Amino acid sequence: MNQLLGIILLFGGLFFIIVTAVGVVRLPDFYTRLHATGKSETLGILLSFLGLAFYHGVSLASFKMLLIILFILFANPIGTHMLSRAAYRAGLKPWKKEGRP
Amino acid sequence: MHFYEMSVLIVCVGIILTMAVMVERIWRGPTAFDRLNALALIGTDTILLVVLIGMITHQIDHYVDIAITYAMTGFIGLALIAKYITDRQTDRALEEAGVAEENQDRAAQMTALSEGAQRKEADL
Repeated sequence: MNQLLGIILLFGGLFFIIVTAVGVVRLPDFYTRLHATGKSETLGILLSFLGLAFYHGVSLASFKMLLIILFILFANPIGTHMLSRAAYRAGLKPWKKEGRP
Repeated sequence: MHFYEMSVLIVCVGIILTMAVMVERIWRGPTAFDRLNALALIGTDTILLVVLIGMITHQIDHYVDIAITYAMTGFIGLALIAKYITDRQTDRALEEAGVAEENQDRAAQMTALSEGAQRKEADL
């Protein structure tokens, strides 16, 4: 039963990672692509590792997976923010829709 | 039990296909930041892929340590490369601004000289 729950969470994480890939390829601008990176990828990795921890059961490896979750929960948004600040200071202009001020 | 291992393998293949799609953004990104963003995404997916491979080969105790190390190294590398690109581009912008100011100064000197020459001609 734990393994079934883990597999369901794993497929949920795979769904969000696919959403991230679609966003990174399809969105029109660098800042909008960072939007896909910062939220969707973090949630996908989080759900996937939670599913793997459920799948593996209680052990030291599951505890290390929870540590990876904690690290990515901090590191991924911080890295995205750092990258967007770097782009803004380098003078990259945000995208605007055609005909709007 | 066979069903579970098969679904872990399916997730593994899906993540590899996702990374292959992100390579297209690295190939075609207009700015260096797009490429860096897609590269960081591939690095984050690789962490998950390492743990999944460990789950398939029943050596999860070793592979989890590799995943933790890879996560930390990838984050530090992303931070360093972002800082390096920012510094390089601001240096280039400052350099261009300085060259423009020099050109303006030189143009002002040239116009002053030519005006002086014209005045001399007018005096003569």
